[in-house]
Amino acid sequence: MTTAEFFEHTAPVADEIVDEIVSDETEVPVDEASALGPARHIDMTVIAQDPTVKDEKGRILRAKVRVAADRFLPPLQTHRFHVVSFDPEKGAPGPELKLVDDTGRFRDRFAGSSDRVLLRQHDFHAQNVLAIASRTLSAFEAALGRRVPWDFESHQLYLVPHGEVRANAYYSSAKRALIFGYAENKDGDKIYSCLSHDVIAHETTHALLAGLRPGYFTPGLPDQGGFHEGFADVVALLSVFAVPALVEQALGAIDRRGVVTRRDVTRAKLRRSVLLQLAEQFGEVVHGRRGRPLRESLEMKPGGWWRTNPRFRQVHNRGEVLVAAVGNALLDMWLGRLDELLKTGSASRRLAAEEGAKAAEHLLTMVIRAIDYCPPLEFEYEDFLDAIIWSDEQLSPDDDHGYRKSVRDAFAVYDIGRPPQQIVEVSKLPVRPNYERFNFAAMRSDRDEVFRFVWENDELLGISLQFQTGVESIRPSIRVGPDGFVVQETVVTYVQQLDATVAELAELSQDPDHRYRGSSDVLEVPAGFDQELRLGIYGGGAIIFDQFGRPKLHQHKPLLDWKRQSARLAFLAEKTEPSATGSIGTQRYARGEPFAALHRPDPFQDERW
Amino acid sequence: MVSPAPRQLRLRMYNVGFGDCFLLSFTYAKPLPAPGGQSTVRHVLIDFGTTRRARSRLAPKAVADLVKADCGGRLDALVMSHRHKDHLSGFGTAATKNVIAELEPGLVVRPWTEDPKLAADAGQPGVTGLAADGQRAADRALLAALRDGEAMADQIVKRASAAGRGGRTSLVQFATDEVANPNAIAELDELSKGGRGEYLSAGMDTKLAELLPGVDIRVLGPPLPSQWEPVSRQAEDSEEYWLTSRRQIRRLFPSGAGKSNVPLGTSRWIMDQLLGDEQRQLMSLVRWLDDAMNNTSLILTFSTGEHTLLFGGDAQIENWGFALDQAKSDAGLRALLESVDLYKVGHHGSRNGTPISLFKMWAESADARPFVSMMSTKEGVHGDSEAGAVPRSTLVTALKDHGQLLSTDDGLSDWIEVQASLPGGAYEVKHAPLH
Repeated sequence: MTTAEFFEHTAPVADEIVDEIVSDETEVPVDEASALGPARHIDMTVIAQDPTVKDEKGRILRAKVRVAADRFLPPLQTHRFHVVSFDPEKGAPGPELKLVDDTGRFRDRFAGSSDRVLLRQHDFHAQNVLAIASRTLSAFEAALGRRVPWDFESHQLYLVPHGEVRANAYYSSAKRALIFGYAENKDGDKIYSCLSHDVIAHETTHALLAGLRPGYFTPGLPDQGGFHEGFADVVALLSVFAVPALVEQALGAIDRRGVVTRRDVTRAKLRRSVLLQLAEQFGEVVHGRRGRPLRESLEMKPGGWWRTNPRFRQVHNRGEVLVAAVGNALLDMWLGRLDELLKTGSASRRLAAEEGAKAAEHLLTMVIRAIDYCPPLEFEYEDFLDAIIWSDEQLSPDDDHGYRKSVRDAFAVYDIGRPPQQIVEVSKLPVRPNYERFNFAAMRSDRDEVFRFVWENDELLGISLQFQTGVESIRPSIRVGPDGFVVQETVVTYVQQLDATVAELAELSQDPDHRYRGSSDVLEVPAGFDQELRLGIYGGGAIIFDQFGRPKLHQHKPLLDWKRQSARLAFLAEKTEPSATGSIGTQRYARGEPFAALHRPDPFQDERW
Repeated sequence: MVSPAPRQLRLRMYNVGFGDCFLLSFTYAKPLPAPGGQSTVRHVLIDFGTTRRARSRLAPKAVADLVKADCGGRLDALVMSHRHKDHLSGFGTAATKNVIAELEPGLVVRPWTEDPKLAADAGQPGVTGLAADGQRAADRALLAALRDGEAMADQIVKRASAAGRGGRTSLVQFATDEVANPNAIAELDELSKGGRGEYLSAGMDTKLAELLPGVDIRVLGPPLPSQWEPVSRQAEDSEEYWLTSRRQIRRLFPSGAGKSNVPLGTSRWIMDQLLGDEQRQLMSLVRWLDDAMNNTSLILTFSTGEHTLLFGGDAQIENWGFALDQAKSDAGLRALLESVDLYKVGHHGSRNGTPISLFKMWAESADARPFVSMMSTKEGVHGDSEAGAVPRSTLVTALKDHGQLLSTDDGLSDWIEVQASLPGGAYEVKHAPLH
């Protein structure tokens, strides 16, 4: 199932309301075989955004979302998730979850439950988290055309709906878990982060991106640090926007009669009444602590001013640029679709909302798919734009709706363009790759075999084998394009690393033989910087092979690109304290709890000895 | 009438171990009025506390006796920089408190957070029973968080002790340093009665000025949270945080603890992780409390003749930041900070106690006057990493490079003193004779 199909099936629940949960128990037959085989998905009731978003009758707005069918084990486990009932106030296991019966049937008891039940029932909290986390995982798998691994040695991600009594939520690789907290508001009501669609999607994205691009924890370029937050916000925004009920509800502010005309759907009106209104409520539970609501990100001033602005030199703020660009692209795509719909003058609000949801789901697929075409580290926003365009071109060469243009234009507003020649079309190079002594079948699974390919073709790929080089991952993917044809690819990432003192690296960069493809750039060391400090520098890339094992594209971040290395060193010098062993930027992977602490900047870092 | 100027200053640093105890004395040409007669010397005791005995094994009682002898049995003023044990324990322990009380200080100076009139209701986090009207919400919130934190530390220590785990975990050790010192506070409250108490925040005038004619005294810290937000960093989101902590402490040391009752299987592992997390969360609360309490420290300058002395207690950057920020636009303040030539090293030499930009004012100054730092510390007590070690080696090196660094930890002397003839005589250093 594509993401488009996946999200198409989300719909608001029926209006009937039954107060007592037991009286409206819905059995969902997950293992019922039909002529077409076992069911591929089940429906689960969720809170559409969060409990503050109400429907026209003043009730919490719900939605039914499709969740990949699975074998459910009690209390609530699938093969990728394990929901844990914990009581942080007692420091003990929480109430036993009763969502799965002994035969492995999942029971959605909440289709007609009252608001009170949704707010209080731990079973519903567990269901809400599982449904949205699972939906997010499915969106990634559908877009990437394969299973997506976690970044830890286990197949299951723990979901802890009540992990702590704090207005917080975070992904912990060490605990292999998404931890959701809750807090009491001034009226003594408990506010649960596990009931916020955007918070769950945001944190699940952290976990997924950590598995897809573990190198993004490496201390490095400012965009790389900002990408985790920005991308998680983008996925959350698009994921929420892909629920038609929410868009329809937001559109209601434009016309309560339920009819939308051309006059109602100007860019300014959609931006103000729908996009910003939805964003306004985003992450009230946890984003408030992060300093700024998502809404402000979407209202960022155009231009490239942010690159040098001190606020945007902080990685946790830098992600806002991405949100702003993607938000603009979404509006553009939606407007394009509405243009078609409103050719006859007007349309129902529901249809207009569905066009918005479709635009969101399509854009979501585009941005997720782009991850495979992003470098394994040394990431910059330009790479992301480039990856969105390249990956979309592979699957839908025609771009009938002009989506790629919408994305390019939206990023251009913030001075983010496609880097020239960053991705090399290997298939169009005059020199052919060397396939001698090479096993095509092993290419799809064996890292040593792929390394052999790199070894034999270093010049073609522009990789210097003089420095430590390793194949990081091989991921075959199968996707169906809009024309119905299957696009089969194998995505390989490799990483290069060099540890040396700053003085040694500066000297190395003086040698023209150690510069990428005749560049004149040398390593620029910030004034007063300790030359004897050990610095880890990185390069690497992603190589996309076609179904015949031929390299198509090479996204390359050369190790010896001294201009990029200088920018990274300048940023490290600004932000990072050397480790106890006198090294900087050498720690490739995160230790501890990077997301739990991410939102605590230290404004006085420069004042400490 | 021209106020008389002192003709000599002396600062004596007692070797209390890990703590602070300084006696600042000014000698005048003519006797000044004093209770029960006249005296040519005025004495100000700045802090008296310790958490670890000095290497010389000098006992606190012996220090109290030294102070008594050195001030001739009478203190003009007593300054308590902030509420931590290593700065005030000497005012409260049975062996020493009477010695100090007999010195009958005429003025007791403490930070604004110590004003008994502002006593917050420690039972209600985030909600205070502040008596004083007009105290701003941010100030009240900090005060309530501090008192609540102390109650939390107290609970941790008591429960650990009841569970027979006193001092065994690092959490309990940290909490022990944060426990309110009720005896010392009660004693200081007693000494402050009769209008002798003074509670200061940045920018206020102090009665020390009247006691020390010819000495210009400035109060540079602590700023109120309503003046300078960073000083209460993280306190604003404390409400649910403190509530949580209270619940957590209750079950920190349950009877029969040690075994999770979760059946073996995939749930057990995550449950153990979650329970371990709570300990870390409490630890972070205790660390917050430590920082916040340090940041209530008084920052005082004493200028006379050509010398300026700077005392900052354990103020960390969030507290110093206010004065440093003001100095950017206030040339007079900047000149005052640049003129410092005798520095009581902040926070026993930790990496947080001496802002780098402050040090740069001295290091990059064109004025090449001799510079003396006095550091009361004991190596190996705090810090489990190189960066966290107290004293911090990079700071020590910088202070030595810039002038003379006197540390209580460098020898076994009972005290080290610096004295100078005024107005412009050079500093002379003297160590107590070894026994």
